[in-house]
Amino acid sequence: MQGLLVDLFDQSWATAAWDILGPAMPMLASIAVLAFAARIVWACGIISFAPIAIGAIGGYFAANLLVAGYGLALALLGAAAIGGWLGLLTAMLLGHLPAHAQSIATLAMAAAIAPLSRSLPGITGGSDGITIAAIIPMGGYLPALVSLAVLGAVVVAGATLDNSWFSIAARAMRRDPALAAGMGIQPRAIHTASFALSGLLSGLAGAMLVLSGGVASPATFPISLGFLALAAALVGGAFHWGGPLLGSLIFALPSALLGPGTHAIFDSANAVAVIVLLIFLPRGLLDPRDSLRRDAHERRHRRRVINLPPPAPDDSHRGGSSRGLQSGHASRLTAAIKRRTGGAP
Amino acid sequence: MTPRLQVTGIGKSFAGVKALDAITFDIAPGAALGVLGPNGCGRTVLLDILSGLLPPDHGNARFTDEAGTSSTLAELPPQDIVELGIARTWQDLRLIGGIAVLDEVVLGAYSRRRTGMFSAALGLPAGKRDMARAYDRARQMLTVVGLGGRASSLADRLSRGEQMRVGIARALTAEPELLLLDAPAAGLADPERADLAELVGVLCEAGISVLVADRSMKLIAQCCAQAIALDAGQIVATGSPTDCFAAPAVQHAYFGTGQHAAC
Repeated sequence: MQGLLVDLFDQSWATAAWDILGPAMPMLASIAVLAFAARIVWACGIISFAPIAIGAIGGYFAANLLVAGYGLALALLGAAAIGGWLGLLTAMLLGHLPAHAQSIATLAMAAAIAPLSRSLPGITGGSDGITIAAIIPMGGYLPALVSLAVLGAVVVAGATLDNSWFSIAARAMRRDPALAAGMGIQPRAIHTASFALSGLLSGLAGAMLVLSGGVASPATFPISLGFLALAAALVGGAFHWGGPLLGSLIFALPSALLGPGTHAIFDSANAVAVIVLLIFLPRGLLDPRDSLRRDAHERRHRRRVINLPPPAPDDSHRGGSSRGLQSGHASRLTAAIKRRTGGAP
Repeated sequence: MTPRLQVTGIGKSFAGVKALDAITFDIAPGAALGVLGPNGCGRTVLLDILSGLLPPDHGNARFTDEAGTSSTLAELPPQDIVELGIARTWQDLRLIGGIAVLDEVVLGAYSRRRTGMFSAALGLPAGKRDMARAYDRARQMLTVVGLGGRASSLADRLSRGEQMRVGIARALTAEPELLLLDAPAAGLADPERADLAELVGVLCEAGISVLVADRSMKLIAQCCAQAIALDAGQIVATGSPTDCFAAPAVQHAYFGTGQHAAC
């Protein structure tokens, strides 16, 4: 495996690509995972700044594990576990509040992280933080490959989650908790699950941030990073699983590639971009509604080309096909349709 | 025969104002009952109580399923009521919006899911099969309500009548034995209303009891053999829809006079 990696990176194009993307990869992946964490809670209709706060705790926890010699894998798993637990705790504490109050509470959590970490030097290393550069060499392949692997797993999980009962239930909750309850959904359970999942990803992202900078300090987890992750999720497309990834690429890639000296320029540009994009594309750059519109447009176009009449709602409830019906409930309905219309059983 | 739903003396007040007072009625299995009344008469409050979204101040409702098991609704949260077999639609439709009609309808299958959220989220085969079954069921119910050809359309782009049928399909996907329709005829033209009445007839023939709460006398006359009329939270007439319409209290509630008019 190591030989293969060495061979791969010995190619000139790979070396060139690595020189450009490699150092930026851990930071980019961390922001993308934070954006996925923000999107999971937003799916229930809550704007949450908790990811950066929980990410910071996960990051300090991972740094302490690394310094204690537990290794990178355990540090990442430990950060994810403590993040998930903190997410669960946040959901239990805030679950009874309205959405706007939850947002403010998570903002307060994010704001409290920097002063709190400075005041607990025994755990956090104070203003200087905890350095892990001696344990994990910065600039090597390891941080980039680990970040890429974690991001890949998060993207696959995000896409799978999008086609699950969780996503369906969260969608209903975002629309209206009363509707969700009327459909048999337990809003509190979905809320708790979303915060726990988001916390898990946040903890992981925090550990990745430490891995990307080689240090866990108040400067590693600025509140502006929480805003950036949230903006990346919303602007990329919070209704689409790929939105956080696209948003992170747009907002984080330029400054990650061009280095720390350019952060201020890109922060200003990002702020303007967020405002402009949200004005013109309030549902984000990736919007599943667009593909539905395109499909409808294509269907209309095909119909015009081959001169078919416009579609009408089908009349199958007046004697249509019963193919595919399986449950007793559905079969009874179809039989009733046929009895009423004189159709063959 | 044991009624599918027995409502006994239900009452509800908001800040001292009586929204419902001593409401009592039964619905037989496979029957449609109309709940008539002008705006503000308490129809939606009644449906909110029956679906568990509001607790009654007094009185009770008892639901008996096909297997003969009775449950007292007042003690149950909305999720348990849906699982018992009571589903509803909403006067303001409450479609999610921005998604395909099929995705709107599949939400109704949530209460019938066989796997947990995490098995679906982890992409386990059982979760995938469960989702596939739910989507099959949603397609079937779209066919039942006559929207089989619109599964991939954007729900927001449908007409009010079609959106109402999406709401009915969503409720039917929960496999209810009692369906509560809240103002289904609102905003519908006469042909659409006739189609809706026919659909209610189909549901009743399939053994589903239907409570149709609407101010439209035409719809209630077309699809219900029995009706109750509400005014200011009280039952002012019961019997056949024709009897209810003819009752002076109903005439007064609707028109303020004794003159009968089409509504």
